[in-house]
Amino acid sequence: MIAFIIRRLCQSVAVMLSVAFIAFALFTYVGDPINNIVGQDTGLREREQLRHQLGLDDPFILQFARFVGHAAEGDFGLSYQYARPVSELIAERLPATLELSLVAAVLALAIGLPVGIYTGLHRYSWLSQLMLTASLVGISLPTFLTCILLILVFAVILGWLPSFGRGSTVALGWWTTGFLTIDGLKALILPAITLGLFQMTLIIRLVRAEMLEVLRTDYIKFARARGLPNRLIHFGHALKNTLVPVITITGLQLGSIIAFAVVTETVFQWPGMGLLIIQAISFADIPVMSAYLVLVAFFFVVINLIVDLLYYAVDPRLRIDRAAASGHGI
Amino acid sequence: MASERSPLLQVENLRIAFATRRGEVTAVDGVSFAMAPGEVLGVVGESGAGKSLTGAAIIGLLEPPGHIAGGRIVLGGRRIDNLPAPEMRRLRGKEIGAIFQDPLTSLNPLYTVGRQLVETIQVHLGLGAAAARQRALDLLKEVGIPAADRRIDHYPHQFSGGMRQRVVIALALCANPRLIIADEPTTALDVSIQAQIIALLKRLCRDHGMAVMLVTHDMGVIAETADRVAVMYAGRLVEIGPVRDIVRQPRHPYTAGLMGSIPTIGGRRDRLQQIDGAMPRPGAVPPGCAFHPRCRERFARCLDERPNLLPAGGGAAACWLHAPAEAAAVPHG
Repeated sequence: MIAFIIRRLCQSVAVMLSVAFIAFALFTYVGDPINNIVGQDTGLREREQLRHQLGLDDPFILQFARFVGHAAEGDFGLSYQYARPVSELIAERLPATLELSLVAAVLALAIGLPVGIYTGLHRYSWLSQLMLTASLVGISLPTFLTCILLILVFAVILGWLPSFGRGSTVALGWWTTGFLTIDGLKALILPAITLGLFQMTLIIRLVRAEMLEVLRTDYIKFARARGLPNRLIHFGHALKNTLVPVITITGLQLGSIIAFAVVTETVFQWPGMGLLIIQAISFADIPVMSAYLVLVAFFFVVINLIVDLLYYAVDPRLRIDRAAASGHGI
Repeated sequence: MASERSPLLQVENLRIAFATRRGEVTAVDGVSFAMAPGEVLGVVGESGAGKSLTGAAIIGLLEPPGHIAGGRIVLGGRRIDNLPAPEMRRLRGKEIGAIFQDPLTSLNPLYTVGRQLVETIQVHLGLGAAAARQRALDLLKEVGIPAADRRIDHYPHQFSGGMRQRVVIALALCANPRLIIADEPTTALDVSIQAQIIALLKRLCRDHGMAVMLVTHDMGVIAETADRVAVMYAGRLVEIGPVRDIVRQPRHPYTAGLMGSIPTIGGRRDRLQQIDGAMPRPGAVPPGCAFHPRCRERFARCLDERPNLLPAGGGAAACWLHAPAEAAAVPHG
């Protein structure tokens, strides 16, 4: 178990280093950073001076090592666009994105799981057919279209919910939350639905397919032959066996939600990282872009690590087999 | 044919059909037999003869679109083929236990064997947690799991195939059922393990007074274990009788063919006998006796008149050779 965690941690570090390398390469190969900082009429001498001051004339390896060292401390330098530390910018925007992603993911799970189970158990009922058809719509509508439709219906026509922004937020230290004001919660609803819709339909279909497959297995038949009540068979025996793939997909999807909140945040003018990165890209604000890249990679790595650990909690076969394998593997 | 004591199980004229797009297809047709308490009835036949379906019908686990289309199943004087689902569910495991073919897939891989035993015991006997665990432990010991008090907390994948089949048997025994349907319980096991499992089943049957319906296509297992044998062909019962009679002197030409196809250690035969042709698929069963196209002893009557079970030797055979009038005319050897 411990050997497994250490091995996974080493892999994570390797992944992070390669992402950091790509992020670093952005600096070197996407334009000349000096051009972005100074004005058009700055002389060559001053440019060289600045280049030396910023350490941009150091050897490649040294620069990379410096970049990684700083990045590990959360220091990605100054934003070209705002002339403020990138870490500050991100810290301001991160809570908005994380709250939105969390609500979207919880929504996707809270609706996707029960609907998936229901449609798996009652395959031929009209309600299942209806829900599956509806989920097909959810999976095929592009995000920007869902955004605009939702805004049209709930913000413009009905006027129930705000169409943009985060509402009023409460600051808890450096973290700003929209959970504590009615205004903030109302502002969360539409973007969270938009962001979670695709994941929700994915979870519905995944859980349904897994349920159908597990219900055909011998151990479910044998559980019936033992006279166990249906509730125990469905929720005790079948559901747990569907969890491993569901955890995998949900974990990966949570990463995607965080990383691809860009479209939703843009349409809803949500003051999160997605909006920041869109602005950074149009401004060629490389420090922000590379910081975003590293941060998203970090989220993915952490989520994957958690997913792997959850496998262990769910499936006893892994606990033994891997432990035995790592005994002579390492 | 049936035992004279009041039977534990009576199957009368059972018909199992599948609803398909081209109408109903009959897979088991007019099967009748009875089992006495504590009796081991072997059910043999080729794959697709309807043995497993008959077992599934008795325990109420026919998979749709299969369903009981006719006949009655009576257990201990109570008709069970038309019980509502919740009552049938309470009967399963408590009155009728089941053992499946593949012990590797019969157990839920995510729960310890102890947990699976305890939940079954609690559902049927309503014992407290400690008492249920004690019973689970006793059952594991009874089916011969070494170091049961340690093994009870192990997961199925930590057991070998033979040990898992013992756990499956313990699960079937949880509520002390009067009847066990064992569907090919040894087919997936090594030959040496097969003998152990059969010996275990025989011992449990004797100790608990359980009746066992042993579905298999292994005549060796039947000869060793069963009191009586029922032979099925194309969804019909063709012969039933005491095991010794059927092994020594089968009365139905199909049974005779089956026996002839078993290799014997003593016999110096180069080739095994085989029955020409193949068993008809459900829905394509010929009129008259289902076996007549492959039968060497057929005569006019077999082609259009379906034989019922007729007394023959110690048992009964569904063959016109045993009709009183024909028996006089056609000598049967």
